[in-house]
Amino acid sequence: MKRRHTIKLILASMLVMTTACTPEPAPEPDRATWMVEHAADYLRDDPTSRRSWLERGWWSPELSYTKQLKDHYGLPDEGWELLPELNFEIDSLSDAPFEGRPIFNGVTPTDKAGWLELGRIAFWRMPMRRDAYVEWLASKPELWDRFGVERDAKGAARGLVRYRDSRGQVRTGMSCGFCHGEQGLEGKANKSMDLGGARAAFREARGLEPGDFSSWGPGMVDVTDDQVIDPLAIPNLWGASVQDYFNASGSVKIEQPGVAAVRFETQYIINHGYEVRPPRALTWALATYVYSLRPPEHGELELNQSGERVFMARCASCHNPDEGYSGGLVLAESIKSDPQASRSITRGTGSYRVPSLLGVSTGGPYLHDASAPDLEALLTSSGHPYGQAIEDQDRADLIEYLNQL
Amino acid sequence: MNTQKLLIFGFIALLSSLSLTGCLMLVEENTSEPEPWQPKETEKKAQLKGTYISGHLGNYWDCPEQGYQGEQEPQPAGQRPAGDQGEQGACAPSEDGNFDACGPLNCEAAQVTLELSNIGQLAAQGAKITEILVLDDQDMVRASLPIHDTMLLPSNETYDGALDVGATIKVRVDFAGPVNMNEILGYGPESRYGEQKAKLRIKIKANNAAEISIDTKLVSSMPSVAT
Repeated sequence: MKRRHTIKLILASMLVMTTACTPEPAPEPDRATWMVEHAADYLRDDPTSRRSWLERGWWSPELSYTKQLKDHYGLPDEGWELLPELNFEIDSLSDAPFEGRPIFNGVTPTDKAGWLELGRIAFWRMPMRRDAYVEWLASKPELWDRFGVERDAKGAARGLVRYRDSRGQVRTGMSCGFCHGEQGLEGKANKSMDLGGARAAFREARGLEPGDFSSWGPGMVDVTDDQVIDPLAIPNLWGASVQDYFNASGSVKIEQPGVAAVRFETQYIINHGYEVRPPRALTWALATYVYSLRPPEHGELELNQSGERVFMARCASCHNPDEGYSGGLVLAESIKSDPQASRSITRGTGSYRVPSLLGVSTGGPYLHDASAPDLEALLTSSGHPYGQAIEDQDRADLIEYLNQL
Repeated sequence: MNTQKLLIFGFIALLSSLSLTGCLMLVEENTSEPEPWQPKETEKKAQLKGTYISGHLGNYWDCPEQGYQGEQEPQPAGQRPAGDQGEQGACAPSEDGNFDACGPLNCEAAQVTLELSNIGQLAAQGAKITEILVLDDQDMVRASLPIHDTMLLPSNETYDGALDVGATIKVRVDFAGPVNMNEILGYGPESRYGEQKAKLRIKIKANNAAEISIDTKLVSSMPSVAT
């Protein structure tokens, strides 16, 4: 009896020791850290990793937007791999003569701080695209307030830079910060930016028909080149670190964090006329930086626990708190908002992604079509029907909770 | 019997002697030293090799007169392509500082970027892009697009057509893209805008090198909006 009891005691002790000594699996690094650790895979001449991230990230290779990347990007010895690299010479927007300096000093960062600093420079200073109407708008400060162009501390248009393009011409280009840096806060959508209105005004100044651009509205941009009016709300970028998809329709899946750099690199190639590619250190740094963005903090707050209970019961099945309150794809018809962009022949998937709610407290309008001006409207409108069955007090608590995110 | 044998042997002897005599008559007496064997010298020539890198079909939304709309006179080489506003960029002010002289919104010439190599034994002279053809989905030629200019990269200087042995260069070719690709390809009105794309066949020749051609994958028009 005593011997049997001793054996049991020994076995129990062994079980406890085994459990205590088994090391816990290392947590997955956050995306920005992952980027720092895998930079070499992207930067090397061999395009294998880049091609792999592209292929694993596309929703469908037959969408016209994806197809051209499939046909041209990350292929050894052909296509965009052979494009000349252009290290943009940039200068601030001013009346002074252009004195361009290379945006990248040629020194590849070796630590996270270095990558983030280079990414911050790319976010605000790397010209993503040149458009004649933006160059016209940049020359007319009297129109900036009307079309949502902000001024930086020096009075220049925030997010615009002068640069020398692939043909040696000095142009004006918009950086990420132009649309995603309201009030100088990286990642915050500029919801006053009226690019459609600016386009229409530019065309009228040329004696041309304004077209349908003025129908976009502030904070909205049509990014699908399919001659269908389907503008989408300029998104906040704070969810990039946690969400599963880029683009409202989910046409790019973040299967591996590196897909962001591929996405940015191909954007620059296309938007600069397929003539050059940017230095890959810049696009990698930019992606790393975007993954690091966080919404403004509220400081010490006591979360509305009642609202949190309502959220967990009614919202968390789509807006997963463990994923920055984001989720997967939902059929466009199920959320009742404008389905047009989900049907685009260039990027449509028939669905919309469930966006992250990080930074939702910074204000509306909400939804991809900006149809909900505030949280109250979001939870009572037909565009997002999931809040309609919530009783008044619960809804008030929920809104207070959301305003703390 | 003996007589028969004699006649047969005599006939054979006669034939043999005649044959031998003929051979001797036909063969010239060769008394010179045989020449040492040498391999036949291959004629040196330039040989071009081309690779398609990238390109687009332009954007002529606001300037259709500058794009290709069917059979028309080819535009002279060196003509400023659509949308090119000159050295000062797209929004050079007029003398009174008025920026309203800016160019139209959506106006950009088509271009392709190519890599060219000379894998021959002679420097190529006068290399140039001779044709840019639009192919339909059956690889049938549907149009020949007017070529504006060919620039050497990254200098952007006009390419002079020279290519040394073993050299590899990149060039960019500006040309007039189609205003309405659907019409050129014979698609009906039900075709959607997003299909404004086609494969191209690019022909390249030098004065001293055979013509080569490069077939591209689908080339699209230049987007009007951010992608």
